[in-house]
Amino acid sequence: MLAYLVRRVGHAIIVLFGVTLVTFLLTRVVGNPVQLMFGQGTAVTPQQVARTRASLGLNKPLVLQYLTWAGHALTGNLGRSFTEPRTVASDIASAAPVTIELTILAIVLAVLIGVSVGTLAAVRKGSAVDTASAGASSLALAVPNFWLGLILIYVIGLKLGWLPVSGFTPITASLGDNLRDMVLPVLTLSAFYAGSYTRYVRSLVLAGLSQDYVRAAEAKGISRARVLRHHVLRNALIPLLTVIGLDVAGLMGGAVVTEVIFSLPGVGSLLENAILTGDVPTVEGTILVIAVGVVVLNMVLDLLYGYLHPQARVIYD
Amino acid sequence: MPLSPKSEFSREETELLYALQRGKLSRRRFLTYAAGTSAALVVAGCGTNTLRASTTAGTAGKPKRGGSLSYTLPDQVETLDPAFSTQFGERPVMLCIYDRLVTYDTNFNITPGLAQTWSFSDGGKTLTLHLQPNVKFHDGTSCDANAVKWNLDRLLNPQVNAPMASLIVPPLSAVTVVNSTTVQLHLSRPWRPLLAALADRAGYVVSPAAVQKYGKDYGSHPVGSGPFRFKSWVPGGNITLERFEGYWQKGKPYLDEIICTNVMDSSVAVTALEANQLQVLTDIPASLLQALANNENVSVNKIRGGHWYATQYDVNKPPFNDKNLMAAEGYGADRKAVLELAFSGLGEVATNPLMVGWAAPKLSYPGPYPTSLSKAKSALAKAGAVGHQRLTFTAASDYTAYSDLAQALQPGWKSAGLDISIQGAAYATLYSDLQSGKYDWSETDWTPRADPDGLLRLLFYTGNSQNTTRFSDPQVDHLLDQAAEIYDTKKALPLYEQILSIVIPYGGYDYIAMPEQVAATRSNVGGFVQYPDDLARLADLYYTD
Repeated sequence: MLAYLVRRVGHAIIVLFGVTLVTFLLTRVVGNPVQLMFGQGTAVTPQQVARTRASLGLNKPLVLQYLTWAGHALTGNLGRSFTEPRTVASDIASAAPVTIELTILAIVLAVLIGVSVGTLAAVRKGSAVDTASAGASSLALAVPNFWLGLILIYVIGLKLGWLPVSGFTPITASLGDNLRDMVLPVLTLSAFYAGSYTRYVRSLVLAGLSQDYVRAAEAKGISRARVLRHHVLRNALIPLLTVIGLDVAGLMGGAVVTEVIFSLPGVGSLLENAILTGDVPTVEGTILVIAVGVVVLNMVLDLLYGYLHPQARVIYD
Repeated sequence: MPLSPKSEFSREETELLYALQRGKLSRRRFLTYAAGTSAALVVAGCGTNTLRASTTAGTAGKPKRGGSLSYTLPDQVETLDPAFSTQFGERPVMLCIYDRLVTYDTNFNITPGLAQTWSFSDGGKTLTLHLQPNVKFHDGTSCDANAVKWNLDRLLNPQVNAPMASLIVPPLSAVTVVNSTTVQLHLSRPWRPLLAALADRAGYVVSPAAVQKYGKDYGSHPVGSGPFRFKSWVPGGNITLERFEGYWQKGKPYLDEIICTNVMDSSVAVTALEANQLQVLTDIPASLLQALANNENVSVNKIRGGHWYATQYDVNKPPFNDKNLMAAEGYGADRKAVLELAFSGLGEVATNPLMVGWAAPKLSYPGPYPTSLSKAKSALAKAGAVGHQRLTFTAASDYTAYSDLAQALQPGWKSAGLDISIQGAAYATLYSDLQSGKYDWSETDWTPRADPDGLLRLLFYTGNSQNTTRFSDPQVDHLLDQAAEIYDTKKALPLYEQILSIVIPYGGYDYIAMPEQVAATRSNVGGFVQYPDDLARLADLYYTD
């Protein structure tokens, strides 16, 4: 187990090194951050541009820039934003909880819907419930998430007036308001995954129910419900867990479209804005944090998978 | 028919007149509607301010003290330090937090700000500002001549390296304090645009004590002397301002609080206005106006503005260094089609880089290349081989106004015989790419400055970082410098006419359209006046009930 962990951490470091190096090259060599910083409408002299480049350390050799940045990053110092009067770490610290909250709530909702509706559809295969859920899940998969968001805002926000049209309250200011502001974004983001998990769980449960051990258990007198709960679902959830892990990892890049529609100050909009304004350290810091998150999450998932599926441990040990 | 803020017509009548003018409404139907709405107005007129109030400057309602108002900013705020402020969205916030040394009215005439009066001496090389006495910053320190000197010295200091320095440096060379309410600015040469710059970001006065306290973080902890003090800022989210009780203009401001939000999608912003979650909205795309026009709790306000859209090309190298090709491109541009497609017909054809202000050509000026298919074809024929090659126009595919512009112009150019291909690019990096010279032929838009020197210098002075058409004419450079030294606008005007006669046809811009500046407020919001610089003056607003 220990050897396995060490190997995984080693892999993680290589991945992080590769990701940050590529980011560095793309932003500092290929891009022109100082020009993007000044933008349209502000005349600057070549001397001003040169002075700005020098003060931001962009004149130094690239290797030195990277090593300096990496060294600081290891101590948690992600530097200062080029364009904002803040440190990168504080920007990420205020954006990350928003995206994490949005992502987790959306996935939890999607899993709850997926497992319950999917199981029901599998158990009542061929019935009206099954057909309805197939239709609903197809719709959820097909509808573009920005369209759904705008419709929800229009109907629930404007016409019915049940929820605010836009706006975000930080969780530190008011938990109640924060959750209220998150309802529509979470619904919008989770729709696709709810549809996807419903179909996946349905097929997993169907496959589980056709296993020999299920028939044996029922022959022994164990009720359907108990068989489902204690055996079939447990086995079905393991592959689902892998899928969830991949989805969460993908969403940690920031559910950008949802964040833009609902004006949530999360990681997606932070990264997008940083790229467009030439705010190089924020781009680098955000990508590093996302990469770390994805890597850690994958490691955790692998360990969890090993725990749940005893046979898999043999492979790892 | 451009609307001035002091129009005599109500919003309803204005909509009808527009529809009539565009041929979408027969005369009979117009008269029926007008009679109906007039009757409705008489009945509704008792006790409500909704309809009549909309297109007049300010409203008839009496200002109520108090209330919280929400506005969404046109783009993201990076910093609230005026010396480093490059984003348009930062300015409405800064207008609330800071005082400017001088201000301007809706016609760009310079009016008092922190400086009550001013005078020029020494052949125009010294500007003496007489400041409002007893002004305090939000942190209690004194906003006096020493504070003003400190602010201007900060811009002069090359170590600070403030981007806004280029607004006044050169020719500002030194600043001296005469007494606590009198400060003198010394210039290396007379320079009329100075006052306009002091009404812009060079003239916002920040608290020296606060900059010393917060250092590099000052931009996220702004302290000014303006009507609203900074309360909080969720990064990427809301900025909250609250009334500054010690504001030097007694009785103002009326509002208790202003919340500047960051709603990133325009249709969501319009919905938020309808749901009364925003009370003011600017930069409304013409396509979304229909929803608001029918809402009786919303007043739509349109002015002529000064924001023009154009195509641009590199005049320093082939193919567009050829004057006949420039002419063909200009004559072949179907400007009315752009107005219809991109701006729902609201606005006018653009003909020059100024469009508003004392140096702008008269309204009747038709532009250097008024749309004419026949003239386009003959200019193209004169261009010879240059005109027969494939030309690539780069359009921002992810920005509606820009992609509409390209789409509307393409057929006209093709009819004229230009062999065009259109390639897409990302809007956010387009300007930077134009600065790098990546594209020969593309599009742009600009808003007006208070002094004609402002934009003309940016666009046409040799080597200016904003001169993306690579236009260079030493005679124009010399004329610009000469004209900037003349304080008497009547005397300066002939020089600007001469400059324009060269830069308008050959400067590298094909002026296409100037849409109306459209904003909307909830009907119970008073004091709303649109300025042609398209910046919302939130601090002047109040609730009427």
